[in-house]
Amino acid sequence: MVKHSNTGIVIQMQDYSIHDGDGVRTTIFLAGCHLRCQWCANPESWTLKKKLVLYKHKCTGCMKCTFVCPEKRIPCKMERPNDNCNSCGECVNACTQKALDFACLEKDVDELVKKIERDALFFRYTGGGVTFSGGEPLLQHGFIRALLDRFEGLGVNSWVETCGYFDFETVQDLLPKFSHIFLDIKHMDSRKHKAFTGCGNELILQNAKKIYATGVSMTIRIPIIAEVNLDENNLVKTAVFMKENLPSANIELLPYHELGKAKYISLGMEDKFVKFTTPTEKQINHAYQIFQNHGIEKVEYR
Amino acid sequence: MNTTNRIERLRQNYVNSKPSVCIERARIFTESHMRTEGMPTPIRRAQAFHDFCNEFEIKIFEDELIVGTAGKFRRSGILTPEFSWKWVDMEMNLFDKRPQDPYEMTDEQRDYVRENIFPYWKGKSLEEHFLSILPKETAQIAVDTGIVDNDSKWRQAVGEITPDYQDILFPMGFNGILKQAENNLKKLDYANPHDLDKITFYKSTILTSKGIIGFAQRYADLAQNLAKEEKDEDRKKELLKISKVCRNVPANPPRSFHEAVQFVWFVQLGAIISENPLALNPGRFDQYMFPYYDADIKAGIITKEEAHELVQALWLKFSEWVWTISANTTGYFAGYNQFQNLTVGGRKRDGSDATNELSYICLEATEKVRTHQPGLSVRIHSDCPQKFLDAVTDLVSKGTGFPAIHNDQAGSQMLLQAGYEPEDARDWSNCGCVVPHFRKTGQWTAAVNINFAAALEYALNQGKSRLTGEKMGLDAKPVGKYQSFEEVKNATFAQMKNLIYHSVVATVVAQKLHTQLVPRPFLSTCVEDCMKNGKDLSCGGAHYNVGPVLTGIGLAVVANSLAVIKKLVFENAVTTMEELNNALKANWVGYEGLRAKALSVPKYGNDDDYVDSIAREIANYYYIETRAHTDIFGSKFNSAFMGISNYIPTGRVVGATPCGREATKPITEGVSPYAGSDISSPLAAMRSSAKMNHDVHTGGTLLNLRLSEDMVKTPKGKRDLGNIIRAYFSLGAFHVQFNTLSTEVLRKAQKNPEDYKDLLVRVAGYSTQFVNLSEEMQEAIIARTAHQSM
Repeated sequence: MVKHSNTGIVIQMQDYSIHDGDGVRTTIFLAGCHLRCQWCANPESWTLKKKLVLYKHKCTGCMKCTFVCPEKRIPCKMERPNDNCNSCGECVNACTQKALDFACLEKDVDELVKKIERDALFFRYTGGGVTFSGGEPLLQHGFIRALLDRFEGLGVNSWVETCGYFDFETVQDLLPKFSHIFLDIKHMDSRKHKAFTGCGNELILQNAKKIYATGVSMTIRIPIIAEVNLDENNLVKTAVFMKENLPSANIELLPYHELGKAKYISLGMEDKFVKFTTPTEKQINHAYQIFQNHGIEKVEYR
Repeated sequence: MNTTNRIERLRQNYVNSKPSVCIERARIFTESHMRTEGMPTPIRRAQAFHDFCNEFEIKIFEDELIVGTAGKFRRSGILTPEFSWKWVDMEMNLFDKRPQDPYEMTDEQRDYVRENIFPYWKGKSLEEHFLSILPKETAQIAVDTGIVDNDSKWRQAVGEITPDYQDILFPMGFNGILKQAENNLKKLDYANPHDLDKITFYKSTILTSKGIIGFAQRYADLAQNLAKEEKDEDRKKELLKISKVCRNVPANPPRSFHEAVQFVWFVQLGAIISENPLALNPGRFDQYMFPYYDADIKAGIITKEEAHELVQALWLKFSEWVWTISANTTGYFAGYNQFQNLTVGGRKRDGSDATNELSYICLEATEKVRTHQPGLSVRIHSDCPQKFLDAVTDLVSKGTGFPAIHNDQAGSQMLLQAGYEPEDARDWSNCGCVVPHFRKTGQWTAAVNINFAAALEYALNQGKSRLTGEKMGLDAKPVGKYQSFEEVKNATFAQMKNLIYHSVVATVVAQKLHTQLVPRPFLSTCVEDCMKNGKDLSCGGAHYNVGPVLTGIGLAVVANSLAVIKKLVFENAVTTMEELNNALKANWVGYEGLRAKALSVPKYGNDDDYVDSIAREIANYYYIETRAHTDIFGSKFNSAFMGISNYIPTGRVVGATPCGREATKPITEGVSPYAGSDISSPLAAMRSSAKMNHDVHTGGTLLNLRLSEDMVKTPKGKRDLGNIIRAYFSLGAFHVQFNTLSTEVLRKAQKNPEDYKDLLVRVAGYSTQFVNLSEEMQEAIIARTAHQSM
């Protein structure tokens, strides 16, 4: 039974994205992911739950949130509610400084379609479209399915960026509808993969082959992190895997950045933030060279 | 192509020298007027021009290829006391200390003008005549108030002209014009009363033509003399070349690219000496200069490098002279800006693509010399070469704020709407900042700035200013008596209508006085049909006379404010008109909760029809009401949503507004969103802006956006931006311009202005050096939302 869902949990919609594919795109970030990558820049995507976000630098300490909280769970100024917060939203409405907000809201298909319909003008002129990202967007396949049908009607093409960790059967019908697929391969060593992301890589590599078999054009993306996957051995293994199994896929390397840190703080997840090292341009170029030596084409959407 | 060492030296001099006031023009004009008492005004002005051309002690500065200044200094500002001397008298002690656009002036100069120049003009200046006739009710709203502002039309000359190189100046030269004047004069008869004014007119043009020819001859002589003494052989050759060039132009048609460039500068100088004008536009430079460039390159007369150097030398000339203006005017036109708009690209008169090699050389010159002048505009049409659009977005990525990017077809549509013939409508160029214009036209393209936010304030405050309590608007009912949103909106429109009426009064009074007191013989010879009609430009002699442009300021503030009233008072009933009014009176202090609610009502610039439809209704109303009036030549007034820096002084006089804006903060320019409220993306801001019917606002519309520099760092980013511009223009929008500097860079420039002297930013319809802006202006620039990608 192919599932359609009229609503989904959306982290954010970002238009004028120029780094997520051809032309100017609107990237739809969907919540939910099985991986817990230590370098994740979107930690609000880890669950589907609506979460309270506190931007401390905007807070003036007026205490309005404390007064309105029906459960008296915001203890004092500039602090996050304790764990029993049920996200009722009273404090968000009371805040005059926009220091409090929600991450991950439920949105319906019509709302997203309305926005995409407006952006479509710019897609037409730039060769752009929609890119689903996340989180792992394919976990919300019912929502994507409903959206894709509508986007097709608008003449809007859709791309997807996936971590590969999903049940293939659930999205088998969906994948051929994408114009292009980005797949992350974070590490070839399953033990290390598990250590850094919480899951092994077997399912991801299996899905890589299955996605490839759909015939949709494909780019492998690797978040390059000096401490994790920059070693020559791993890169060569990735290249060999691609050459053998995904021969026409190209490669894009995404250097690690620390910009996610502010999000960890505003979500009260500071303890989960791990600092890694951003690779140098020289290291990135060297890594590309390895792939190019294996006959794999480099691509950069930037 | 790299700039030459010479250009770099000229550039350093321009960046590092402060403009100085030169009183020579004022002195020579005044002394001349003392000798010509009793003669007709056009003759007196022409004679004074002629005298300046003969008497002024000319100089050729080191390294110059293109020569000529209107003052003793490289960066000179001149005084025109016949327009107004009073503001100079009041302000000149503080010229070097004022926060915006300071000038150097010595005590000796001050004493001289106070003793010898100003007393002569007492009671005679345009300003004094204007203020003596202007009805009291209009003066209350229109003189130094920031509500209705047209002081640049009675303290200054009009300018707002695009000399016609294509059909008059280059083919005829001033010798040709002189002959035409003499021939036409011969046909006239003193016994025919209709001929009397014409006789005066032709005589005045004979004087100015002889004046400018003689002026150039003096430069030719000077260069020749300097060459004799010059030790450096290369410079000696250059000086002899300069001499040869000035011997021929502007007396005769140019014979080379170098002569054509020098010709353009002499025409600019002639106009500057005549009246110190705003918006003296070089127009479609790449079109009328191309034949000379092409011929010289083909014949091997110049190299491409030399052509680049000549263009860049001209750019520096455009930037060196200073439009001397009052402190009040600097609020509206900040940054030593002269608004010499130069337009490249677009279509030819027959509709085919007009882009040529010079179009690219102009873009490159702006990138290389980083001068704030000329105001560089490009016309982009649907079939414009990709290479040209790429060059445009590449210049955008350099963060100079240039070029102003215009929709070719929308410009033509605006001119058709204003009554131009189709071929002429296709041949437009920009005037000032964003006014589509055609060279055979007499028009006041920036006649009045009208403060829309004030109209709203009067509707909500019984016709009174919130800050001063003074009754400035029409009677209005107490705020609590408004029963519906429609009522509030209509009350605002009624106040707008009143401000438009007073703008019209202030304009026609000034227009009438211009015909009597400050005719423009020199510029009349640069615009078609003045010579045929025997009629001065100021009297309606031009081929086209187009109605004055009234610029609306604060469109977004009023739309946002009305949306707040609609939503919070009449739809959701979360507040009342009284409470909202109390909050505004208190400048939101104690009403922070209400202000937060007001801020969360949809804001214009986010592609939300809830508020955008209100903005469109205001803009449409404004158009209809403006077009209901006619000027002294019977032409209908035109509406515009232009920029300039007018959104700052106009904000200073308006109390808090329902949109959440605090008292005295800037309002909004053109069809741009309120600073920082276009939170969605530049795409949404573009879609909002395009909802205004740009084609009817024939005085131009303006949208300024700030882009994070990351968005245009790569070839893909630039290509995407180019295609976004095409998409935006497909909606019929007219103009967009980008600032692409990071907030970080701007903050650094604030801290270390010495290191950022050449940092150009887009202010509104133009770009200028960031460090030349007052702190308040700098903050306003930084406050514009920088749109960033994830």
